[in-house]
Amino acid sequence: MAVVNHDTREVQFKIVYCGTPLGGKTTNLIYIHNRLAPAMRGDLASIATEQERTLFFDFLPVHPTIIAGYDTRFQLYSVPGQKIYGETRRIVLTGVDGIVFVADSDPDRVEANLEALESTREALASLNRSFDRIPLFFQFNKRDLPGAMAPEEMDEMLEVRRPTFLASAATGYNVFATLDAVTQKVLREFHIRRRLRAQREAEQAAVRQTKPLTPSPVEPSRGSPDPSSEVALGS
Amino acid sequence: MNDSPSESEPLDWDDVEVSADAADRAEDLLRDFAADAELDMAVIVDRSGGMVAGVASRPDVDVDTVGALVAGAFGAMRSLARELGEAAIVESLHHGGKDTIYLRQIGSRYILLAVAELNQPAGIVRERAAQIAGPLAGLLGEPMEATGSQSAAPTRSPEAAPPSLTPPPNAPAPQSGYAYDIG
Repeated sequence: MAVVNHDTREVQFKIVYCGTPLGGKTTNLIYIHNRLAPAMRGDLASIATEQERTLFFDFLPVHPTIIAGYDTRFQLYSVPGQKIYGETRRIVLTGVDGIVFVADSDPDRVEANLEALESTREALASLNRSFDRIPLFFQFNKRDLPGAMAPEEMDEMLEVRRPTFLASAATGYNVFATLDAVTQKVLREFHIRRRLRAQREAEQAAVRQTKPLTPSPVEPSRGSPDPSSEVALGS
Repeated sequence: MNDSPSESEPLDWDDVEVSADAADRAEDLLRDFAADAELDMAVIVDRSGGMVAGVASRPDVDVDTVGALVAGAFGAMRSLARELGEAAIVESLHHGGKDTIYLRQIGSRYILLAVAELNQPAGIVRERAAQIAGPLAGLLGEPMEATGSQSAAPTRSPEAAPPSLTPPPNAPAPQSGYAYDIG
């Protein structure tokens, strides 16, 4: 969920790079950090093992633009891919607005890809978030590998029904294209949520205005609500 | 396909909205807290790592990173507590080489971070934090908390009105050095 601060006029969004262990999640963040102007990003922070593998998360704040007078900030995280870090993934995915799932194109990593995808689904489910509804893009990384799996095979393997990006995080190929796509999608969803919320509040206000202050003798009881007073959107 | 929410579906999550007034009043509370407990930093972070409000006398601190680490650290501590059979975690205290770092849950959605020099008694930090926890939760639209025996000081009951945000006439002037607002 976005954090909207009307005092500082900032909107913060959280984007998490999930995926296969050693699949290139941290490499994506490093490439983004190296290529962005210092004024547009903060420091890259990492909680890593001595072997420089992500232990908890990598974190990169990016503040690319001002929209409608609000400073729009994206906080990019990557999480470890190994199955044993399920709880860590759950913590980092708390409040997530968008996900990039980085899959490894190496044919030997099929099982690891499937396991990581299942772990991501499980983490989201434990947070009562719907995998099918969250803005999520697949990035098929390491396309520069000789013998990389065909994209169609990967689509089938991961049952992908979403847009995918063929990428090489090591060279930067399609790293920013993936980031652009997920940030645009997150912003679109945010605007839809705000519009629905405004609509809902307007409807609630209208209901309040039209309701008499004292109940009339014929007003339905609580057990049988008046359908005309129901608020839309399931709220 | 990755569908957007439509009018026929309920939204499955809510954004955190902090009004200018709530942020200002939260910052006032944090500034008083920082002065009272002689803190170097007092900030409120939401559980996803987003910075909500804060004051600090350390302008060199990267607040975005602090927010991410606070959310991560508190989440990890909560998981550890759960693993060990503890149902809830309200507070966490770290004694370092030169600083005391204190974390406290505020309502269900926010975390308070306080940083004090090591020579500052941690009990004072905890007590002052317990005093502002309820009003902060109320400001941020969270249920007023009842933290029970884990509190260093009694918290206000849900029915109690939050304290006035303006200091009494004889209150000491806020300590200078907390002019740097975060968030």
